[in-house]
Amino acid sequence: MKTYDAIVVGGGHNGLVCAAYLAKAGRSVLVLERRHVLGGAAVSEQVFPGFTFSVCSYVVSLLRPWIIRELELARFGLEMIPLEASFLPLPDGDSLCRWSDPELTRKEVARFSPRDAEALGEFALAMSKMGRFAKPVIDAPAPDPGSLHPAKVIELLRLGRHFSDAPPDELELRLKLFSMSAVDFLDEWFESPVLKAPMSVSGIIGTFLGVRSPGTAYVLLHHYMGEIDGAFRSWGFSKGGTGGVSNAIANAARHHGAEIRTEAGVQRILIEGGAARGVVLANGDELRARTVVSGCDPRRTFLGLVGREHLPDEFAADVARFKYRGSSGKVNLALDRMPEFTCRPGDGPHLRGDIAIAPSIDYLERAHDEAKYGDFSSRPYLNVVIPSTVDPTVAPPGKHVMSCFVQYAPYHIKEGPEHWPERREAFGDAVVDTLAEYVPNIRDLILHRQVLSPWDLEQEFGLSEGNIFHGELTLEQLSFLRPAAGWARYRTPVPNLWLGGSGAHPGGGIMGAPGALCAKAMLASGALR
Amino acid sequence: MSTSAEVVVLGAGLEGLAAAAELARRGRVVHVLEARATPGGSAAREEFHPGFHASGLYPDCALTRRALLAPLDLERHGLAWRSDEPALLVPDKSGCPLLFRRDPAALDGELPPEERARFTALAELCARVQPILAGLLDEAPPDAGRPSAGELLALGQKALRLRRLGKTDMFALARLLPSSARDWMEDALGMEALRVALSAPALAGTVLGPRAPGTSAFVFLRQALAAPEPVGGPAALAAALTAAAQASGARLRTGAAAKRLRLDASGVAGVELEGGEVLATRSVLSTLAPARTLLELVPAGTLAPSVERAAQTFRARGASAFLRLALAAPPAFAGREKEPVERAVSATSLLALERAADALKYRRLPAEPWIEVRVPSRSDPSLAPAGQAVAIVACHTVPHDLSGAGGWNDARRAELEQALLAAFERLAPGVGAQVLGKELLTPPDIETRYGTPGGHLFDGELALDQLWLQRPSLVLGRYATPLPGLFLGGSGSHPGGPFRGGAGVLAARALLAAG
Repeated sequence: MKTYDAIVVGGGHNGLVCAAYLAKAGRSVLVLERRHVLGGAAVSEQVFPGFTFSVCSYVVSLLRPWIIRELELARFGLEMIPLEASFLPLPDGDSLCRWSDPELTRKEVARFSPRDAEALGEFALAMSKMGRFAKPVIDAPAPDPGSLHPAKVIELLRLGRHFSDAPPDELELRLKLFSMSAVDFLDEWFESPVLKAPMSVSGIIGTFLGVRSPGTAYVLLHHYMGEIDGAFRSWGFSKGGTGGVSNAIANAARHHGAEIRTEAGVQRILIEGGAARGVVLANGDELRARTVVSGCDPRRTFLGLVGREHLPDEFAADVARFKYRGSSGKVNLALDRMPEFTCRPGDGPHLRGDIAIAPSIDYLERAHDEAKYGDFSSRPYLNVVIPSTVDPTVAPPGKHVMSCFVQYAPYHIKEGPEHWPERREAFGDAVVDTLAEYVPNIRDLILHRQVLSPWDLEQEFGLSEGNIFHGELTLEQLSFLRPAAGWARYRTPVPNLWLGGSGAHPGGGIMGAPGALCAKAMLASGALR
Repeated sequence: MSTSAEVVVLGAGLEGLAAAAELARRGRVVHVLEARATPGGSAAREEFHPGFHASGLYPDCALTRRALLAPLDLERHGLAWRSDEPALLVPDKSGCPLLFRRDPAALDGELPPEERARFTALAELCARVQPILAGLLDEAPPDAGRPSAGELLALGQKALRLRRLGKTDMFALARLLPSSARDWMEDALGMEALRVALSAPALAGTVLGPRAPGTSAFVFLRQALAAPEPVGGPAALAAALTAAAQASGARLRTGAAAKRLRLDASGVAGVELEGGEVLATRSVLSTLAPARTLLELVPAGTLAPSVERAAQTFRARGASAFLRLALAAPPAFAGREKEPVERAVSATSLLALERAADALKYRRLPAEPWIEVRVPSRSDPSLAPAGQAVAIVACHTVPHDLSGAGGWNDARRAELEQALLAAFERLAPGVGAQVLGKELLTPPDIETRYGTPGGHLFDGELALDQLWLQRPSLVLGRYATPLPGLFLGGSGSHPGGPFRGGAGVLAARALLAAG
């Protein structure tokens, strides 16, 4: 029987990136995906005939440019379409559209606050500086403050230097960004709630926090770090849906010789003599490898596929303590024709970007409060995209696909998460009702509707508690603490087993960084020599 | 110009008095200007009903920086420290409330053995870190941009001490300090009343509920650093500081409000009082709120826009209201009627704490407020006539800005008073019938009476970004301001907040070191 250099469990984008890097370095790699389609949560599926949806993750922003370059993803089919606008319809019939052209945005914002319009430029500049500062943090392995090895200590000091080496005002901004709430932070810059509400939401996506919760400000940076092929700050659609990213990575991996199997669910990781030796498939087949990489989240990996009995107690406790608490769901709509917003009737460039239903800070907080006490938000925050406006391949002519990211939909509803299937359609209705306040005839346009609760995300995509980032991206679960103290460098306490999914540093989003950094760590470690 | 002083201290609250005492002790000619008729600021003893006194606005002073105050020899000026920690009563589902003390050894019979073991482990972690934290609180923050060799050494030593605690402790701290109190409490403890006992008092001065990230840090600080309080509470501390300052020669002028600073080419030249009198001085140490000092006393346009902005953005949204009660008899707490309970919290769950904090976001009164009760007359009988009692009912989720409920008016005040009394009645049935007199202080009342913008208890919210280096901001975090001769040293400076006395002494030292 063949012994692979590496078996990658899970064909999500990180698993595929990891496989592509290992294969490119000449190692024999097998990727095993449980579902019939690759991509994990970065997947495109024809859910209804003729309508292709980015079922879960729906925009690309943080895919690392060096990964695109090193894996030549453009050559393997990656095609990005930048988002042109960020549109905020308001209940009073007004609206705000922020454009990729700063001058247009300035004019729009000036209608609400001339002072804010002036502050925008300075803010963007400050945030871009911060973004440039933060980039090296997500492009390199986490520090290791537990180690007294001189090299590690020097690395840590260098990181400290990197952090503190700035003029006082910039340093202050860094400190604030990592400890403040998105709203408090924005309050220091802007006065108009119409501007602050949609800006603040980037701080809460995928977390179980509200826009007034401390620690949400730093996520604002993600908007300014989003870069596609070097174009700073642009978010984009992948042609053919988000699965296009995964497919391009898979093509690159195959090109370099990786073997990829779908409908090959792993039942457990084979542990012999205390080390990982391969995997056992759901059908009982045993496959052997010198190393095993998990692209699954830490809970599934360690408590599911490995088993507590093979883990040191402290590590097992850390993994068990790791917080997931999925807070979002997804509603995908197949539409008969273009939706019309009352506040800006007709088709237009405002529909070619992302559309936020986030009319006020209080609205967002109320949505959060309902979730805190065990309900989905009756009026949730929605981030809506209509990719068919820019990518005709995803819907039949004249028809459209509308993807709604919905927050909050807490995994832990008060009835218990297993009762989500009974609540699912009511949740879908809440989303459609919310939309109908801005698009009155939306119900008449809907041909098909797919509702994904966090429970569904767990059942279908294997995301524990439906957390789209493989574990909350809160300060205490980042960097050298992700997923467990001292085990943030992709290695695990089980020899030959590596973790290369979003549950590893630097975390979730379609970045690809965990997979790539994991592969690089494996190659550097000598485990595959 | 009529008179002159080497240093003028603005404000005779605890910090101002501590600063004055320290400066006078070190031989400086100090004048303290206090706008109110008596010294003490919000720590002053106040008669709120004939024969009934409050020992300061917020009775809690368990986090007083005793080590920094030690050189002032306050004991010689009448201050005594308690030997015990008054137990905190927290209702429990079992019916018998928990009487909590921070010391696990003092919890005999209060906790089931396994819970006591869990709490002991938590308390021991806090105790191991205590010396490092105390060191950070009792020193001026380092210069973040250009730390001196000495500062780097001090920080390095603390890092090393932290490292010596072992990887397990270090990682535990890294994980729990940024986390929410709820996550830490639920991971570490099993009994809801115990979780509440640790969390509720630590939320005073924040605008947060226990699910907010970073609230663990405040729980940790309190558990690690709380210590026996002065006998007689904040007012006794204020009295001893006043006596110490005056004994060293500091001159205290009450009824003297500063109107603006007089400047010349080299910086501060004097202080102009309301009424026109000018006091010549080259050094001013202001313990007023940063915004008042920098935006009202300093002529506009003097400071760089970035400094003015720092003062403007320092958040000080008051969230605490107090109901002072004159009682015909000490309250008897349900389930512990026989015991002389001095402190109590009404919340039965972390969820209740969280729900109450929601009101702050919507600028409304909490539907179900939780209260923190103190019966200071239990340990200081001088506050009430013999046999009678004083109770201070604090509520930490009352917004200064009540615009979500139409703003403050008599109806809202009555509503709040009723809700607080109802909560107290649930804790101590029958207490309502004992009320002889009362005084309600809402955040706007506190603002007016004590001159603190926003009516905040500590001149600035407790939040991770408003502590240490950043209290009140990175450019102002080391007491000196960019205006030569002007220093900040109030509760809005490090350590500030509930860490009473620290900012005044450290600011005085910074002023002395500046020469």
